[in-house]
Amino acid sequence: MLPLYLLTNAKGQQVRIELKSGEVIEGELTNVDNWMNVTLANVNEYKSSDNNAQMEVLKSTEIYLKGIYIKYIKLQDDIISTVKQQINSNQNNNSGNKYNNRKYNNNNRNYNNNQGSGNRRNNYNNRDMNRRHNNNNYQQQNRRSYHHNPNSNNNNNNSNEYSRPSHDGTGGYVQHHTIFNNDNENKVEF
Amino acid sequence: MSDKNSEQNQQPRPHSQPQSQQQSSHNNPQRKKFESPKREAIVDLTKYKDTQVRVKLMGGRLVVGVLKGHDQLMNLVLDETVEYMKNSNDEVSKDKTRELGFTVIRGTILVSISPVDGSEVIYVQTS
Repeated sequence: MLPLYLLTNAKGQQVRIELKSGEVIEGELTNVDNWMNVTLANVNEYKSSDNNAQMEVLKSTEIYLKGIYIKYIKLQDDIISTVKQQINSNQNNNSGNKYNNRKYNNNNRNYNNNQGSGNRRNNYNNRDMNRRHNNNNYQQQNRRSYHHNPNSNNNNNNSNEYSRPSHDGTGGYVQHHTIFNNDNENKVEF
Repeated sequence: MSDKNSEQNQQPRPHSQPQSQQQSSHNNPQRKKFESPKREAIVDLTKYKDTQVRVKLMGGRLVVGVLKGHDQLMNLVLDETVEYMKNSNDEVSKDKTRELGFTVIRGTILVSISPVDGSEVIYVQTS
């Protein structure tokens, strides 16, 4: 269970965030990004949790918080079981898909020529097409050779691109986008 | 002659293969599954343009101003900026302020940003 994955799947829940300065911010989690920057809706801000007789609370409709300034985020107590259930049911429905999501993540970084169409789904398709182009014609774009070499190897061995997992760079959740194999799935932990 | 030339130039092009239709449908992510953290910006500051925003900065300062512009790094351009500084009790209060006017706020020291519209201060009795 990775923290950021937990958070991204806790969207819509009430959270309580304490900042490094000691301020406390409560609200509904609406969005999280890779840097743990968060947006909250229907927010209450307190100065701190000290016990004055009167507490000044600032209410606002929305807030954006820099992740670097967060001390901790208190989630609902049942969040882990909820998210785990979610994962499990998803796995049963459609195995291997969380893998794909990771690939998308890599994609957004590696393929700048996709022109940032906001839709990940589109990115995915575009990328696939690009790759086919490259493999069919010749190896162009040496700049991306690091990411393309596994592909081309794959292509030489057998034209089935998604047959072989590449084990390089599998230290964290960063995976090569060439992996289509579901065998690795069991190694993935959240 | 030039007409003929241009006609010759308009030969039917060799059909480019519709690559997209050759795509196999392997691993189609039909369902949105387990979401991964986002890489792109999660807040759209354009909706706050020309409205008052409250920006907290590192070091405990609070700045309120009319948002005139922003960029991806969340550097901000604020107009009619007022800065609320800490008083002797180490609290940000309304009484110690500074008029800054037209400013650029560096994105790196930004802590939080929220719209002033729809926000209110209430006092809660805790004891």
